[in-house]
Amino acid sequence: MRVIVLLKQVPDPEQIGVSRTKGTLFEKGKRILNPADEHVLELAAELKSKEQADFVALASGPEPVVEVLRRAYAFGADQCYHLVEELDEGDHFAKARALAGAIRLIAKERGEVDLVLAGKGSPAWGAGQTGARIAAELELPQALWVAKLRVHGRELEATQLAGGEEQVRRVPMPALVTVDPSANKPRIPNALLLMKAFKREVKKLALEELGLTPVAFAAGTTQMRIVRTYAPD
Amino acid sequence: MHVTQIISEKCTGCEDCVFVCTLKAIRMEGGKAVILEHCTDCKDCWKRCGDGAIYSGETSAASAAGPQQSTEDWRGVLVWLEGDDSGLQPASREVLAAGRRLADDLGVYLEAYLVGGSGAARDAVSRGVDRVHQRAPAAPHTGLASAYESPLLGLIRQRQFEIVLFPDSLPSWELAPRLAQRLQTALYPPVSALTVDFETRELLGTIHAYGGTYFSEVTTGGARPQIALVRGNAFPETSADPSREGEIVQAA
Repeated sequence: MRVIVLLKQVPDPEQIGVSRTKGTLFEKGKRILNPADEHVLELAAELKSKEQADFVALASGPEPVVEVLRRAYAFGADQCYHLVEELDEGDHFAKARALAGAIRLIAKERGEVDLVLAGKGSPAWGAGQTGARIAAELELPQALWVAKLRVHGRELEATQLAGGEEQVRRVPMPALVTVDPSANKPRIPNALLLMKAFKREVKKLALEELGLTPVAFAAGTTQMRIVRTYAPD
Repeated sequence: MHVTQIISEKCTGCEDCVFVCTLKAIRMEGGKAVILEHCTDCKDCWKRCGDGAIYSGETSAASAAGPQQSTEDWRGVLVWLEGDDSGLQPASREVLAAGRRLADDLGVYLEAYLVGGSGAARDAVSRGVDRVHQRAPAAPHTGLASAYESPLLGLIRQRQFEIVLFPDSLPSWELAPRLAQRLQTALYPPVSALTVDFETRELLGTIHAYGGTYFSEVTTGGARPQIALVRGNAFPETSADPSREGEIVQAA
């Protein structure tokens, strides 16, 4: 089976502040891998050893995004792809369309994808809407907030966690799954693995390669615009 | 020349549109509604029609062309509700309250897509929904997305609601982003406050960032529909009034 892991680089929650005069958030330090995505990498690593899965990682954004893909190599990824784009971060529609395009391109290059894995959400808005958006783009069935995942042939047994209750669902592959942080305890890659990861090649993809028409990104209508940000009293 | 048209195969002859038309531009002929020449395409009738028998020829051409349509074409508020014969779920009652207030502010109908029994439908009407599109729950273990996605998408496309609200729950997270992607619009993360700009009819939502360390006010500008998730315990429930009237129709 082939697994594609979607990774996101996010502002470090410990390293942000709010400008009182401008009403905007600012970042003081380097961006980090979305903490929820560590659990996604762990699950992919487990699928690689249990199911002999081909473990592919994909992240999109400007150049520094490459750093989160190095972490995927340290978790044992077979190949990492960086979709280089500078789309508005509040434009979940365009981001999802671009990532779906990249997944199609990778499937053409490497073979059919059976499972797309994403994190449950990110610290900024806790949203986690990109996974289901990509599933819609690729016409895939999905299971969100999955705490336990078993593979039975071409079918997944997914235990979803909602409001403290578990519900088990069977989903045919190919499918998209978002991983609940309770699913596992991510390993901590040692220094040697991290150093080796630094030498691996990250393949670059460009938006122009995806065959998306400019109308795919109807500028000005699909993004969320922050009017102001403030700290509650 | 008006563009509003009647699909006579769908028209059941209920005369709701005749009743709602302030210009008396609709007449009944042989048990079916007919639009008269002096229709001004105000869209009151096709927002009213529960059978999907009225549509704007111009608007359907525009939807085929993509997202470049006027926000004017989108009117009305839709809420996603769940319940059983004993009534609506608590989270659904809160979403209903949020939707009712926005509908009043905008001067439009509040409609609901309800998954649940007739008790829940009556509860929805008594708490302020003008029209309930009711359907029975899908078999357990079927994916929510597969069961409700296309009927809901069909309803939103046909009625062109300007605002669609969901509670902050797993079913909503499964459905709302998929709908937002297919409708090429933004999805507001769970909001704890909602206001509308009376002129632009834009929705301004307050979202919690970094686990509530910061609050952000967000908007999506020209996007329609404006789809938002509603945080729990943020909107006080409306009280139930059994004498309140509303319409309950069976939904796909």
